[in-house]
Order: sequence, then structure tokens, then C-alpha cells
Amino acid sequence: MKILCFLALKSAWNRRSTLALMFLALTLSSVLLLALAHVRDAARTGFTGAVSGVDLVVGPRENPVSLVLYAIFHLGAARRNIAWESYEDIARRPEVAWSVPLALGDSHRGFPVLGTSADFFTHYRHGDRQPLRFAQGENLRGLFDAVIGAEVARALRYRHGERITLSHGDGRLPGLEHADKPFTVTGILAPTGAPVDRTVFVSLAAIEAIHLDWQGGRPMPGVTIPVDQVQKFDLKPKTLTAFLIGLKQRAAVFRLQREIDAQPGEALTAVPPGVALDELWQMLGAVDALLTGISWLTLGVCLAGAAAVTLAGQNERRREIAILRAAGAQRRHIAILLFLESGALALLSIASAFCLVRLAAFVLRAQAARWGLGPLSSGIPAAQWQLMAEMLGAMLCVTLSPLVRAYRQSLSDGLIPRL
Amino acid sequence: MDALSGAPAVEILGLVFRRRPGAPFCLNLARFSLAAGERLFLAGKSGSGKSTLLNLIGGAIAPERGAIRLLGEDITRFSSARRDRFRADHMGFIFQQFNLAPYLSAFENALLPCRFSPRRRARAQHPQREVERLFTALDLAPQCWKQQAATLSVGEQQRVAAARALLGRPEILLADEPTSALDAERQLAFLDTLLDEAGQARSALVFASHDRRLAERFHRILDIEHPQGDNPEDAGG
Repeated sequence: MKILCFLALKSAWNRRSTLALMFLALTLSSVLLLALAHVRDAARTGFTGAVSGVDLVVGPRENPVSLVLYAIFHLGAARRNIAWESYEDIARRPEVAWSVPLALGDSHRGFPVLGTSADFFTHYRHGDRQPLRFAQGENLRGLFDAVIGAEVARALRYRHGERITLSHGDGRLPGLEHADKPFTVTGILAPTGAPVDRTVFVSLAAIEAIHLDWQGGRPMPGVTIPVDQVQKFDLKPKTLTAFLIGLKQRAAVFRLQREIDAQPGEALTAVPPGVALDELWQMLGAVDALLTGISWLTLGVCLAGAAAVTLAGQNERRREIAILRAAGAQRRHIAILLFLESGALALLSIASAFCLVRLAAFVLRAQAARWGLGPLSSGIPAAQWQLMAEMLGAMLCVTLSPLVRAYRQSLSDGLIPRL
Repeated sequence: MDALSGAPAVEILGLVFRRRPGAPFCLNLARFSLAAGERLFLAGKSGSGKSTLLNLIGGAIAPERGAIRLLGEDITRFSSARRDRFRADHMGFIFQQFNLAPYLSAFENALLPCRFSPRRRARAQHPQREVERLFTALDLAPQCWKQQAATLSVGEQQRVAAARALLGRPEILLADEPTSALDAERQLAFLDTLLDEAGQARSALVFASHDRRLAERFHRILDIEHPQGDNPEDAGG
């Protein structure tokens, strides 16, 4: 075996430029397939982990997928708000264990601002039902307190006590700043990998307060209500974007969902997050299949190229086989020798591609979290093992078949090498 | 292997070979034998079947009929794996060209048989020293020894191939036009050393060549184009 490894290495080194190119092509096409598989897995863990304790998301009547994407992941935009009274009616029902109102719409330097109640921090669960933890400071207390997620703190280098102001809307329009009513960062959350990392939390009353002197999405001309005056106004919210519900018994989910959907009064949609995510996967399924198909096609093209290169070098390999056989190599030695090279090439390509994908996922983890992708799993998911086994099989089939031909021919050639 | 020492090194009985079933005879050899230490000159024009006979003796191809007994054992009855092992243990080969793995050094090429066959390794006793001795005997300059085979001249390559074939004193040496790629002066010197070493190792040598001028150094001649004669003509060896 030692001599075979020695010969395989020497022989491969002799053809190093060809093999290096084959390795590169196979690695890059493997990266495509593995990156896709990784994104698929990360999206699943990310999306599922972001709503792990919530039984129902309730919002205005619309597509359940867009409702969940906006309310939980802050992706897309809300079309309508719902009335505070609708929220209170449902929150008071006996089967409801807890409820958390959500008001979205403002932002701080690109990060979404979520108006909510202090209950959010007690009831929200992420990942595998983990509660939120404060890395610094504490929950919302004063009117102009803000709690920020770990990524917000990291990206903007904020610490406890930082003074911040909010922008109206997504902050892209100039002049729409709530500059007259600054907030103080009183709490910073520990990292979760969920969308809360990228969120600035304030109380619902604060959302009301900063919009007192606003109308129709812009400041009312000639009206300013200074900070020390806002407490005189009624800061009870009138509308909100959506709310989250946790039930006493999960078995009641679908019954309550039907009742909310059917109730008279404001048109609402209630969605179990799992159902919405399943729908999302179905929508993405066709795209996923298309991307997977293209990735396999790319690997196929690379393999065809590799096979062509191997075929072109076949006469040289035939001669090499004859030489080794005349020097005493047996059939099994030759077979092992050819297998070693193909096997090593395939294994190295796949392993490098896997490491590249993991490295990229690690380096780009902040960007990935922005798109709702979960953190890198410590183990390798079964689906990825299977994918890698399939890739290995495909590579071995294609790179070995020309060599098997060379081997067969060299056996019928006899021992005497030919041109 | 002492039990085999009485048997002829090579013995062929009723050998028939065709390239394809139904094709005219490519080779039809009724009876032929070669003792240990004997040298046979295999004569015939190119394409006459010299290489085919060497491939048959080497166990690389199988005859349609007949027996090929090497050291008393009929290799046509062996499994292909056993034939491979037998070849590695008992035979050395030299060809006209392309003898060497281009990516190995001269030294590594010469050592190959001992890497694949424990028996050859045991018979060589000190394979490395034996290669050095053979290289010196074959007049191969020491600076070539570590050189990649691909960078050696044809003459140097043939001498490395000869050293490889001789290493571990195989009982049977098969040579197919080993001198044809050499220039005339080199041919005789190369042949002399080869015959000398083969004689010391008591190897039976089958030397195929189209060049009849070389035949006088051999014990016997077998003309492959007229192989019907049961007794190959005597070259006076």
C-alpha cells in the first residue's frame, strides 16, 4: 500500500496542472451545491427558531406568509394597521395565556424599531425555546427607554446609556427624524441569531409620544410638543401592526384561529407561524428545485470536462499501466492506484468545498442573520451528508470510467507498451 | 523453489493463438522448451508474432489451445491474479522503448519489482545495493541515478530497464527488441552486459529481435516465421 500511495502521488505530481484545474472546477461546482444546501438548512433553522414560543401571529387580513415575514422578520412592509380594541378583545379571551402587541414602522440607522410592551422580553422565545437574556442593563421602564439587540449594539458600537433618535419610516427620506425626542439605551440583549438581534425596542407609549405632533407621515406644521409636555397627553396606542399570542393549551390553536378569522368586526388574520413557514417553503420549493437543478448541471458540466481531460490523457495512462504491470504490479495494484487518484480528487474537492461554504457562512454571519438565516449548526445535517455522498458517487463514476477503459485496454494490450 | 529447479524454465506444448476466433493462425508452436540459463534468439520480421509469443509467455494474454509451462507450472491454468503474481516473482522484462515510469527516478524505477514482489526482494537481499551494482555494471553514470526517467537519454533508459529486469535474479527474462533504439556501438556493449548478468543469475533469456547480426551470441535461434520445426535450429551455442 505504501508503494501504491507513493506511485499515486508521483504520478499525480507529474500531471499536477491538469489535476489542479480539475480540482478547482470540481471544488467550485461543489461549493454551489453545498452553499445551496447550507442556505436551505440555515433558513429553516433561522425561520423556525425565530418564532419558537409563539402559537398565533395575528394581524390585518392579508397573506399569512407576508404577515409573518413582516411581523417577525421585519421583511416587506405593512399595508394596514389593526385597531387597539381588536387586540384587547382577543387578548382577554380565556384560552390566551399571554399576548404581546407589536407596532412597526420606524427605524434607527437602518435597524427596525419595534414598539411593544415589556412582556415581549418575558414571553419571546428563540432557537430551541430559549428565553431572551440581557447582556447589559434591563427591561423598558421609562417612556423614552430603548432596548437594543446584540447586532445593533455591535454594528453601531452602542453601550448602555447611549442617546439615540428614531427616524420615521425606513429612514431613507431626509427630514423625517424624531430628533426632538431622543431615547436612552437602557438594555442590550445577548445575541440570539434571531431577528431580535437587529431590532431596537421601545414602548408602545413612546411610539405614540413621538407621533403626537405628526400627521399623515410628516410633522404637523407649526406644532411642536416638547418632551416634558407629552405626559399630559393620552399615550394609549390606537393602532398596532400585529400581535403575538401564546395559548394555555396548544391544542386550541386551530379553533381560535378559525374563530378570529371568522369573527365579525375588523377583518383579521391569525396564523400559526409553523403553517405560514410551511407555506413559505412551498412557495420557495420551485425556486429551490430550479437552483438545485442548475447546481447539479454545473457539476455535470465540470465532470464532463474532467472526463474529457481524463480521456485525452488515456494513452499516457495506458502506457503507464503497461509499464507498471511489466515491473510486477498486479491488476489489483493498478485498480487501487487508479481509484486512489479519483477518490482523493473527489474527496478533496468535496471537503474543500464544504470548508469554503462553512468559512463563508461564518464570515458572512451578520449579513446572513439580516436575511433570517439561522446560525451555523455545530453538526453536519443529515441532508448535507447525503448530498456529499451523492456528489462523491457522481464524481467517482465519471472520473473512474475513462480510467476503467484504459485499464481494460491495457490488459488486452499485453505487457508491451505502445505509442 | 528448489523443487522446480529440475523443470525447464519455459516449456510450450501445442500452442495455438489467433487474434480473433476464426482468424488465421497468428502463432502455431507444437513444442518448444528452454532450460535455466539458456539464451534464445527469437527471430522474425516485425509483425511476425514475436511480441505475441512474449506476451503469451509473460501471461498477459491467453492462448486458444496449448500449455505454457514456466518452471514446471502451466500458467494457462492460473487465475489472472495468480499469473500476475507469478510474473512479478519470476520474470523480468525489457522492451524497445517506454520501459520506465517517466515520473520516477532511475533508481526508483529499477527498484519497482522489489516493491511489488516480496520474493524478488528476498532474492535481491539488499535491493538498493543490488541496483547500485547493476547500474555500475551497466555503466550508468551515478549522476543519472537520481534523475527523473523522462530526462534520461534512450540509451540510459534501456540500461535502467535492464537493471530493473535483472534485479532479484528472476528465472525468466523476456526482451523485446531491447537494442533497437540504441546506436550500433552501444548495442553490442549493452547486449554483452545483459547476457553476462543473465548468465550469472542463471536466468533463461528470450530475446526477440529482427536484427540477425546479434544472433550469434545466443545458444539457440527460434525463427517465428517458420516455427513448424520441433527443434529450433542450433546456433552453435
